[in-house]
Amino acid sequence: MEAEFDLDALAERFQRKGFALAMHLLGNADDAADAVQEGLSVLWSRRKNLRPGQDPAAWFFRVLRNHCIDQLRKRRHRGGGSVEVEDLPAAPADRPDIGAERREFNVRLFQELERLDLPHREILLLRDFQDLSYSQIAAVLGISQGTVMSRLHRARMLLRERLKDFL
Amino acid sequence: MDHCRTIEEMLSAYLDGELTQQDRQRVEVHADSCGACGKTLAELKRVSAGIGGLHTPEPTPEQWSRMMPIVVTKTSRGLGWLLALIGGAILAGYAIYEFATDDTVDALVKIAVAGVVGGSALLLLSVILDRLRARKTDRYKDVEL
Repeated sequence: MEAEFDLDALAERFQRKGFALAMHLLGNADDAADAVQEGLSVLWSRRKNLRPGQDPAAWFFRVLRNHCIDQLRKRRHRGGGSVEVEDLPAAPADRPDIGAERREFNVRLFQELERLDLPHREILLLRDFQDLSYSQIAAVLGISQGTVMSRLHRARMLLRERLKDFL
Repeated sequence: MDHCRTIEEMLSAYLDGELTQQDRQRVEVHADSCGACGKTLAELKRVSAGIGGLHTPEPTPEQWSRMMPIVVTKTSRGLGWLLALIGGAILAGYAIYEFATDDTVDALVKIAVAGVVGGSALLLLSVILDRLRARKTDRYKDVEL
């Protein structure tokens, strides 16, 4: 357990995943990097509050997600826009292994994902992008596992409906 | 139709491996025999896989360094504060003594200086008390999962 709380190991484990999630929530790389720093700093300073065997992932993502929501609220107060779809390409242009059809699907999927409201968008990202279990998602969002199941399904059904032409 | 609705609500949890063995089998048996539910399952799978495969730009070197956590070494910070406070108290005491016993300084000046120093000390104290109060309401202080 102690090795898990080596600072470098924590950074290695969460930096890339945290950056990806924050980028999808905030749409700005510098803000995303700051959110990861906040998540790691809080996790490190409060590491003694974690019970033995408890997975720090849920805690890290909870702090990161709360920080992102704070940032989005501040932007709204300042009159700033939400995520700019153009800031975050759905598929890199220089990847020949992705065919035109799949690229088009990815772009459309990404656009529809960004148009979802935050509760649906974040639960999809936590499950399908971060691969968290329902119990971890419940801990991150502070909701029951039953709510995770129904909200996630609703979110996927919404996306499916909007992507009907591509499926 | 009602059965379809019940099964449909379980399709996402089925894809995520979050159903009990019994529910899992119910979904499999139904999806094999119901074209509509089988199609929905396949489409949800594609949506889920698509999100998993979304691209995120690589952070720049500056963003990588920006992500490093701010680590506060509590022991050294505490010791530093203690030494600074002891040293400051000794210096302040010595200065007050020298100033108060200096016959060349006018009494009115001594009163004015005492007012400025005393007022500043009170302001500093109020800031410190505010910070202590803010620490108690730290939103992450008692985070437990």
